[in-house]
Amino acid sequence: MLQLTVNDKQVQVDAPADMPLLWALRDLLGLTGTKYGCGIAQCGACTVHLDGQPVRSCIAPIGSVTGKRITTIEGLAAGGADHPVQTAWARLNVPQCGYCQAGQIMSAAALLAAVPAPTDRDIDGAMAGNLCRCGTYVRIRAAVHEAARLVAARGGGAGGPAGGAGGAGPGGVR
Amino acid sequence: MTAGRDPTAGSAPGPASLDRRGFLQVVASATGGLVLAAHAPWLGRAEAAAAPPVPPNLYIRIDPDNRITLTITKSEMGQGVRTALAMLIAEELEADWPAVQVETAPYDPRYGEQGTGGSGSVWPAFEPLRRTGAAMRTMLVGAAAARWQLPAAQLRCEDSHVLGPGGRRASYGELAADAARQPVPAAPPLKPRSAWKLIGKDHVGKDVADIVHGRARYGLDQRPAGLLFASIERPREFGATLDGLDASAALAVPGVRRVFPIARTDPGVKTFVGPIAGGVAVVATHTWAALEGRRRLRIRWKAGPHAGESTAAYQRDMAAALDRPDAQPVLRIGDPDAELARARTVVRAEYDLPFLAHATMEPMNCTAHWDGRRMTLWSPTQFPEYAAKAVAARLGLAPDQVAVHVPLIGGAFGRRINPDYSVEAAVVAHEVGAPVQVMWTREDDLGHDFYRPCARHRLEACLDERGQPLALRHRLCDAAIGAFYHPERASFGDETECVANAFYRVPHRRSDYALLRSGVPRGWWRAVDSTHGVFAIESFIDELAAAAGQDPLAYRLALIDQPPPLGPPDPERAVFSPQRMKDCLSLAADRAGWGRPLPAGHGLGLACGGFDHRSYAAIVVEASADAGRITVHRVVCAFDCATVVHPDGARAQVEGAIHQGLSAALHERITIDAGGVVETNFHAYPLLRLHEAPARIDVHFIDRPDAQISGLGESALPPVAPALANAVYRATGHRLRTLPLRLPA
Repeated sequence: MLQLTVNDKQVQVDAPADMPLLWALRDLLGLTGTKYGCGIAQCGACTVHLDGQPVRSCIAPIGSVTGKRITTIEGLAAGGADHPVQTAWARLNVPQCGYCQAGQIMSAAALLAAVPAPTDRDIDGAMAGNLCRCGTYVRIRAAVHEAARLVAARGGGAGGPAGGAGGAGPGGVR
Repeated sequence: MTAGRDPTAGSAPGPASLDRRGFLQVVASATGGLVLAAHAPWLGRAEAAAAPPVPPNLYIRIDPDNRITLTITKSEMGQGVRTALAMLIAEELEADWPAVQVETAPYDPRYGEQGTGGSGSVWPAFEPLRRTGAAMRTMLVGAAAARWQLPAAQLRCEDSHVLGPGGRRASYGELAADAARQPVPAAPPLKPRSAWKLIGKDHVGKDVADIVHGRARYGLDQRPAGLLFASIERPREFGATLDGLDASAALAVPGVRRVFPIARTDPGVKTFVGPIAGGVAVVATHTWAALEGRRRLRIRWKAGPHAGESTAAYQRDMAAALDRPDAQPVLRIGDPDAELARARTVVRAEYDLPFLAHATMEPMNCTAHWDGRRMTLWSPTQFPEYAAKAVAARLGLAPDQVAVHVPLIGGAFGRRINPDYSVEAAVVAHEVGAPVQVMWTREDDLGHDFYRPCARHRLEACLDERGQPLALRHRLCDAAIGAFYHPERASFGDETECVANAFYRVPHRRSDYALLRSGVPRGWWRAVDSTHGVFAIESFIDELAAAAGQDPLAYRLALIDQPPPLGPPDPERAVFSPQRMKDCLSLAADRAGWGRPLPAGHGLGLACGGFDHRSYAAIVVEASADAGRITVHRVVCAFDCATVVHPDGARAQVEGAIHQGLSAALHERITIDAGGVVETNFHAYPLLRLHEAPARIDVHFIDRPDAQISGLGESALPPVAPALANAVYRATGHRLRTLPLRLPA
């Protein structure tokens, strides 16, 4: 029995330590917002935050994530307030099929926590690991900039439980 | 989750006529609201002779709490159909837009053909859905008029309320029960375009909030109680069969419950049962155990008839087929052979295109439950009808023993027309007798797709004294889609459509077709045959313009002045309009700054096309090449589908087509070796990534209120690759005729 901290809750999973976090989230904990896309960290659909850092949960064994704060797409809107990335994504109608978007959003949130006002080059660098087949890349770039503007307008970092450890400024976004 | 319940709750009184083929009727609602049921022929291709009673295939429910729910039979796979169809209803119903919900109906054989594809969901619904909304509004106004003892003409509707003089106000929900007793108007009038409040405006998609919060439920997110998880090891080689299985190590993995073989179904059967590869299923308590068990299977495969096939062999076969004299004639106009024989200069080119995978981000999957009497599927399918029929046929069930719920779909692009993954899940569930989810890994998905055919086009032309093409000789060899499903068919000449029927004026022309025999499964990849035909013709026209020393835009405009030689493929379809095609070209070129000075090393390339001659698209790409690497800076698209219902959704569709077109042009290629696919995952089958996307995409729609509305999911895609290749030519002088595009070292 392994103890994990997922979206600020302590949970126990009865699974081998080499099981990737992705399957523990989806099949054992009922958190289906995190998606399978490739199983080898090539597509980013399974991106979650570990202590605020983006990781590909399809290759992260659960034995390696005990004691860390795991944040999934379901936990990104802390306390009911949307993360600025979620707000921007909806405002710009980014998703098409939407399947890759949880991973896109988690990568973007981690980027903004580290780089509050990213350039196109920053965005290209941080988001190149997240595939989208429908073709939303141009909107994703615009939405990351929009989210950065929202963060700036609210006068804080892209906080929430996910962003804090990434080096963002003080205070969450409420 | 939106799939699910039966929206009807009672028997229906007699229908009122909606138009010559459809009808509306009131259905009693268990909740005390109003359910208006419609038969809209576009939702299922109505048989011409469909005499009443035809069952409804569209439901609009107004609940007493003023919620409005539209139940549709179209699959949502990212194209925004749920939003666009809801807009059509809500516009005429004067509904409170945020309170309109959309549900996807489960499969019901009474609906008729139930499927989504061919850019054919919104445009056929454009009038019937608005009429349906208008009829419902008329009935609600009638109910309010009766209640208030006022003439209907004094009442108006807004945000799901009927408003009357003296501040009278009643919600649709309050009026719904009375409205259900109103007569159904046969032909309610529609608003003029100038009065539209929703159509033509941008809205946040109906599923966006669920998606950004991780609440959207796709096929893989279905979790019926007691669910088991399965993974299937299939033979790598197409057509190989199981020859020996040792499951002992797999069964020793904790969580693995069952291991058993699944028999293959060969293609070419008469009904649309759909081929499946067969293999060995591993059923477990969670996905990881199923995958771990699968890794420990020891299987011996027996080679089949396609074991010797390879891309290298196909290349040889296609080259030989283009030289053989026995190709199938498709088009003959004038005497192109004589003109080419006496021409001083002949421009000749061959264009080579590979097999392509759909590579939807959500891999194939299906969840199934056999309760001993009935099979229930939760299948992310474009065609629940095919899934149900194929499952029934494979398992020997009656059609009404199979239920198909359609969750949100994580990308489809034509892949999910085929029912293979639904059949697999049903076979596994039938064996296990519990709910089972069969998930394909990415390796399964890339290795067992139904691929866009590989193709080689040869074009030869000579020019007249003005530099315009005098004769055009075309030959295509490809692995026809139809030949995979119907190998007994003799003719596959329609594969040449985009070149044989190209709209450029050429006095002497011929097209011939030769079939490439292959065991590789083929299917419908977004925009289908036009993805290779438009690359060939739009690249070649560019080459002819260069040979004539003329501007590629002016050259095209001068050659587009008549309908294509073979006419529309279907007499019901609109006739090609040369002016609309030219307007797209001119607009795209204008907005891209055609002819402007460019940064050093940059080039502008142009191409145009139309899918099935219904919509019109022109693309201009600005690209550069440096150190063997192609960079796409900007893409401009002009698109004409006559009327755009949801502009932002339409832009998204065109942007998506452009991204996917660039992805195929720059990266994608499925290689065959020893009868199976070489590429196993995204490291080997790369898709376009964000840092490779153009800095800017501009989409311009041409509004034509008097023309027939048409679809927009596909038409922008085929011109992308040739526009890029033509831009690379302008930038570098290299003519690239093979996809994916590779600059010479």
